[in-house]
Amino acid sequence: MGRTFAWLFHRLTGIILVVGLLYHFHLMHFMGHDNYSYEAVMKRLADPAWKTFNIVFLFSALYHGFYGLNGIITEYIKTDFLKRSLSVLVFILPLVLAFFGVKIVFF
Amino acid sequence: MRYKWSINSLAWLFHRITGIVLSFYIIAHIYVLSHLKDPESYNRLMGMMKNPIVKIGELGLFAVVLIHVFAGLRVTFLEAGISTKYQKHMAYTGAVFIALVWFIGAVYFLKEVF
Repeated sequence: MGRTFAWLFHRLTGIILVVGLLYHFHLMHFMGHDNYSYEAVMKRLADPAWKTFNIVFLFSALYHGFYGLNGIITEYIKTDFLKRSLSVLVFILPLVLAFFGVKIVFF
Repeated sequence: MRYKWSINSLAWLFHRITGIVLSFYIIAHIYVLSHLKDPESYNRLMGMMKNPIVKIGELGLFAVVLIHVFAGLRVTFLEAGISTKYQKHMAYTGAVFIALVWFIGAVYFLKEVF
């Protein structure tokens, strides 16, 4: 059940990321410079709705990315020690990144 | 793992490679965002983004994102039980869409510099 959910969550975060990225790219690249000036970004970061979007986006990206990497490690790495070390790494690294991400959004 | 070469296995392989690239990119991306704390360092960093070499990198990243998104949609459709009979056509259509969206996006990306 746990692993089924992990897999399903990978799909779900994938869909969230497609929608989120559409907006992210649109805002940061296609709507002009005023949208990514320091002031504009700070204003968005202060908005609770944007905080929610950013946190969902951040955690979806981290989960999706590192679940995927874990799958690739499982399938391609043959050496036991290397496989175990890398699995630990792809578990810890997203947690560290999540810490920094949350810090950016809230502090 | 061995791949029997076709447009389908190629889409699958590209999905994995672009996935690895994007996972590494998010590390750099969060690092860049941690410069948000004061306007000087943020603006200096954003100024660097206008560099043509960085722009080419961004266009490459945009392509990587598009390939990963379309390859991911392909896998999602197939796993949802949408007929595998059409998967070759789906892959080719996806490739055309990637090229089209990339080209339109590239025009906007380059507008930021020129």
